[in-house]
Amino acid sequence: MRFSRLFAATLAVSLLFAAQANSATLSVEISGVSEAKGILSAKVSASADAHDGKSKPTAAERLTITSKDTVTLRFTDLKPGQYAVSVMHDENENGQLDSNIVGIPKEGYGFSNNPRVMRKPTFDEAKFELGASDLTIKIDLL
Amino acid sequence: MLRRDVLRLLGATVTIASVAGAPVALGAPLDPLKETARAFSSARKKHALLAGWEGVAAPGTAAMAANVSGRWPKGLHGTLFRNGPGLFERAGQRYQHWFDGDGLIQAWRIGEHGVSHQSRFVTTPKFIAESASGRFEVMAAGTTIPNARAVSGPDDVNTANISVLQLAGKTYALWEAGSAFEIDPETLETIGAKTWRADLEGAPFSAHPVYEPDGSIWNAGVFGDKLLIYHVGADGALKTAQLLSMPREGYMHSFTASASRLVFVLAPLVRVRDAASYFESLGWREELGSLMVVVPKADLAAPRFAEFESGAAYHYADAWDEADGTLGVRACWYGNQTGFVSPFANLMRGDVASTADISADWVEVRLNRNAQRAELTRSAISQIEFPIATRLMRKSPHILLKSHNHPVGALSGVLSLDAAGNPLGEFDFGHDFIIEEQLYVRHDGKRYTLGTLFNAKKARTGLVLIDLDRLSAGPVAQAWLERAMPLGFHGTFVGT
Repeated sequence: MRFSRLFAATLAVSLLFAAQANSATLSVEISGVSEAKGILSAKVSASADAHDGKSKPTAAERLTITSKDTVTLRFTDLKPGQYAVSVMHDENENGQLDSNIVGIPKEGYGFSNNPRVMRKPTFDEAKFELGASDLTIKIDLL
Repeated sequence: MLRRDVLRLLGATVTIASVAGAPVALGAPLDPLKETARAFSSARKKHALLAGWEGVAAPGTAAMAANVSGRWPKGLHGTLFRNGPGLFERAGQRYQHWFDGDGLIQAWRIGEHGVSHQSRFVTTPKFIAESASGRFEVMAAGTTIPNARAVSGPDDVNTANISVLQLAGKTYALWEAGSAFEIDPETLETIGAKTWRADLEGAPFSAHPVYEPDGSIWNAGVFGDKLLIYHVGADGALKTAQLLSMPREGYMHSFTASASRLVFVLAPLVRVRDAASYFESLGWREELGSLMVVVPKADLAAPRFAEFESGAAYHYADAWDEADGTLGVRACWYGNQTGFVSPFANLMRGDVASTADISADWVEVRLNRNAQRAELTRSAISQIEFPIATRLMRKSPHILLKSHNHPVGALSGVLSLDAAGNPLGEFDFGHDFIIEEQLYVRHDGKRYTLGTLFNAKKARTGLVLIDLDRLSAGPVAQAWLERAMPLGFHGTFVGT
C-alpha cells in the first residue's frame, strides 16, 4: 500500500511537471492606441471558427485604457499549437467595434501578424505557432 | 588558379555595373521601383513628352503668371481647378501606375490681371506620413510597395487625386475609394477629410458627382459588392444615403443619370488574384458581362439589374428617358484591353516606343422598359475620351477629346457632336500636343471649351479657350506657362 501511494504521488508529480512543460505564456504587446479611453479586449483563437466568432476562443482578456501607451496582455497555460489573436479597442464602450456604413472599422483593432489586408484577416493570415516556451508577439492597432 | 580567375571576373562585373549606373551589389535583389525610377530618369533626358509624368516637389508650385495671347473674352473670370497625380517618386523609387501619384491641385486663375497658375498637394494622411519619412509607406492603387505597413481602411491610402468639386461655396479634392478632402480655394491648403454623416466617415465618394438641375448632386461609391449612393443638397447638406447590395463586384469610376433614374455600370473587372495593390489584383472576367444597375431617384432602395456585353468605361456621358420607358446611355467604351487597367504604364517607366493598348469607342446602350438585357451599339466615332455633355439628363450635344493615332495613344483633338451624335466640327492640335479635359463654359451668350494643353515637344503646359461656334479655327485665347506641369484628370471651373 505504501508502495502504491508512493507510486501514485510520483506519478502525480510527474504529471504536474509534464503539464507545466506543455503550456506556455503568450504575451501580446499592443501599440498604436489612438484614444486614451475605452476598453481594449483581446481573444486568442485556436481555430478559424473561434476566430470568426462561431465558437468560443481559447482565452480572452480585457483592459481599461487610460493612456496611449503600449500595453501588454498575458495569456497563461496555453498548449502548444497554432493561434490567432484579435484585438479591438471599444473606445466609446458601446460593446462593439464601430464601423462605417460599408463596414470599415472606425475604432482601433489589430490582429497577430499585422496582416496587410484591407478587410478582416482570416485565421490563416493571423495565425502563428506557439511552442513549449513563452512567446511575445506585437500587435499594432489600426 | 581557378579561384583567382573567378574573383577577377567578379571584380570586372562589379566594375562594369558601377560604370553603367548605380553600383549593383552582387547578390542584392533589384528593387523594381528603383529600376523604374532609373529607366524613367534616363528616358526623360531624351524625351520632353515625359515631363507630363515627371511630377513636382512638395508642397507644389508657387504662383506664376502665364503668357496670354489671343482674345480672352471680357468678364470671363474665374478659376479652373484641376486635379491629378503630381508626385511619383520617393527615396529613389518610382510608382509604376499613373493613378498612384499623390493629388496635386492646380488652379488657373483668369481675371483682370490676366492668367496665373498655382498648385499645391492635398495633404492627406498618406502624404503627411510619407513626406515626413521621405519614402512610400502604404499600399498604392496600382504598384506593389515593398514593406508597406498595414492600414485600417481606404482613407489611409487616399491620394485625393482625381477631381475637384465646388458645392455650397466649399471646394473638395475628390478620389473615389474614400473620402473627399476639403481644400481652401484661395490658398489650396487642405482643410481635412469630409464626413457627410457619422456613419459615412471614410466611405467611398466618387470623383464624378452628377448635378441635378436644382444644384444638388448625386454621388456614389463602391466597396466590394456594396454600392453606396449619396444625394447632397445645393446647400451642402446630405439629403440621403442609400446602401445597396450588388449581385457581384465590379469596377466603376463614374455613373450618370436621366431625369428619373440613376444609372451605374459595374465592369467585369474583379479581384482574381492576391496582389499588394488594387489594380494588380483585378482581372477581366468576360463571361460575367457588364452589369447595369438602374435606380429610380424616387425610390433608391429599388434597384433594377440588367446585363449586357462585357466591356468597361471610365466615363459615362448622358442618360435619358424615352417616352416608351426605354433608358438610353452613352459612354466612351473599352473592350478587354490591358491598357484600361493601367493607362500609359509604358510612359511611367520611360518607354515611349510602345503604344498604350487603350482606345475607346463612342457607344450607346439602350435598356427597354421590361428587358432583362441591354443592347450596346458602337457609333463610327472612335479613339475618344473625356466626354462633356452640354445639357443635364437629356440626350445632349457633346464635346469629346480625340486621338488621331497618336504615337503614344494620347489625345490631341477636340470634337463637337450634336445631340444625335453627328460631328459638328473638330480641331486637332497635332501629335506634338496632348490635350486634357476641356470644360464647357457659357459666357455672354457664347459657348466655349476651357481646358489645359500640354506641349509635349517643348515640355510646356498652357490653358486654351475654344469658341465652339468656330471650333475648326482652333483656340481663340491661350495662356502658357514656361514649364510643364504634370498631366491631370478632372476639374471644375468656378466663375466669378
